[in-house]
Amino acid sequence: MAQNLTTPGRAMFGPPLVQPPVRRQPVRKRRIRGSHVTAIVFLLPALLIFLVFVVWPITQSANYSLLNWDGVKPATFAGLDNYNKLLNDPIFWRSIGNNVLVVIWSLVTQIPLAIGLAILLTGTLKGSAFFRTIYFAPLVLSDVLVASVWNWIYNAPIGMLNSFLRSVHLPTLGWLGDPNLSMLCILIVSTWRYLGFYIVIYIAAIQGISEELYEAARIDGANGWQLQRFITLPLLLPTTRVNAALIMIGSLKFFDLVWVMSQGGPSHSSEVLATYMFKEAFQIRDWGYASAIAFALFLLAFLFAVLFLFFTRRQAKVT
Amino acid sequence: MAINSAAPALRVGHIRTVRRPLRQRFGNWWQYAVALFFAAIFGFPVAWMIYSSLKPSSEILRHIWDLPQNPSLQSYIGLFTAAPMGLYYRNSIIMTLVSVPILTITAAMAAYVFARIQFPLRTPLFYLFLAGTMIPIHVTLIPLFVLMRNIGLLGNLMAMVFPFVGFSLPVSIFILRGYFEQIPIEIEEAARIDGCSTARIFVSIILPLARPALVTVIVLSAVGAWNEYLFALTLVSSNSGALTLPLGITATTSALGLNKLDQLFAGLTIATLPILFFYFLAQRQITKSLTAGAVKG
Repeated sequence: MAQNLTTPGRAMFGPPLVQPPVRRQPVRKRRIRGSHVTAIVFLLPALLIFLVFVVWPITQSANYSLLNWDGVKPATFAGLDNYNKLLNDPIFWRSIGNNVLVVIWSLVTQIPLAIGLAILLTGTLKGSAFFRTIYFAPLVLSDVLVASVWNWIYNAPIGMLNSFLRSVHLPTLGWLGDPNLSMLCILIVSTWRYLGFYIVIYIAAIQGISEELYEAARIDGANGWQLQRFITLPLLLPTTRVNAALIMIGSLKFFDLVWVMSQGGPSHSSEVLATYMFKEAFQIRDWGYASAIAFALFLLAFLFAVLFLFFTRRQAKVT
Repeated sequence: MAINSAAPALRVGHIRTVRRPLRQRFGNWWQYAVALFFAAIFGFPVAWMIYSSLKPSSEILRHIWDLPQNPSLQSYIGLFTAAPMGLYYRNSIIMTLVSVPILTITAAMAAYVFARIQFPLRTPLFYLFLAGTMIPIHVTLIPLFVLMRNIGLLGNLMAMVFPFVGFSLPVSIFILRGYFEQIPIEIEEAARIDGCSTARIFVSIILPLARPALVTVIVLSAVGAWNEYLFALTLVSSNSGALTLPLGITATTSALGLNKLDQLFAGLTIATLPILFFYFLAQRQITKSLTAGAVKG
């Protein structure tokens, strides 16, 4: 990908049509043929940690999802009961709906805003470094901190937003306490929190676009708007595809902000899969059912991963 | 309309030294308007949190937007008796100092194998790690809880170290492997002819040459460890002596009521300022590190 970002021209136009007459050696990366023992010794620590703390728990989750278990009393085998319950659980579907909402909202807000601001920051604007520093600052803050601060902005009795509404004599809103608004409130914070991330990626992509393309277009009489519309935007397409995939995968991990701001409430209006699973596991203590939700989460991640590979494969071949 | 119309002219400025007309130079005023608007949106909540900590609670309640009338550090003095911020800091520092080295060393060793050493299971194992970047942590929570309960680590700070390392390995390996592959293999071949073992080549040649990638991985994982919430919440939060900063923030928030709002904002500010300080020192390196996995993936 790094290659691809710096040479979008090649990604666009593919290999030259006329091949050089000399037959090239097939490109093969040379590697040391060390003893297998060395390889195993070097790989073992990482592999052990990964197998014990990532891979094994996933298989265990699959096992637990077939049990009736509260984590304390002996478990009984439940077959597919938990999955049956899952498919008929309106809260589960509501959570999936909210996860989908996270994806759609992120695609619709983050990508256009990030492209626009990245173009702005790579342009003639003086003080671009200053603006970047401010825009990217939320990236280093923890989700918990961000959520805690925004909780006081949204807070219904004393928060900033309602204080403002009161001062201009408008009716106040419930914000996080309003089932119709809670998810939107959290989504706005997620845009605030993560927009910088996508701006950084787009800035890197824009800086990789060859200056010659712009010069050629200007000689042909293109104006500033046309330069962006017909050169920058099309050449950002591969990056947009990667960002879209990141948004999809990231949406399944969406937890911290929701948990600190609303715990999925009120009445499950801002529930996402991760918070629902966490609640079932550590508040309601239905470990079999929570594991079924967790495994559904895993299957969705797997599906997204396949889509991600599909989206990026073509570029991988070019680079 | 004309976003950035003068940009290309500026980029080839060393060729064209003609001064652009006044109108064109100030014609992009609206760009500043947009940039400042977003600067306010991104900057204000943090600035508000900091200056609110300098107001007494009653003033916060009455004028939540306003700058402090008589700025004072009184809230910070109250905070030290109300919330053990020092303990939270200590725990977060320990967690970061333990997990980042373990992660960096194990990831570098594995990445070196994937970059250089030929052996039968190389490709499948690499894909196994790669798949790890996609997995939501939640899938592993209950089994990890059971595991930690069985080995008696529940509520121990160390319980979150290895799960965190495990989940950070894929992207770290990915970044490091990409960098190792760029190092000319001739250097290693020369060293081998001189009789160096693979371990020696790795320690004395590869690691020093890969410093930029190592720094990237260290920064990325340090920010991750510092901000880690989910494993802490699940595996550690039962023990109030082992709370890390993110847990401490929520504990402080629920412990302090409306009449101690000033101390709450002081707590949030104390939890933020050091990391913001590092960020202002090394913004370029930090943003580069945080997006490295994405750009390469």
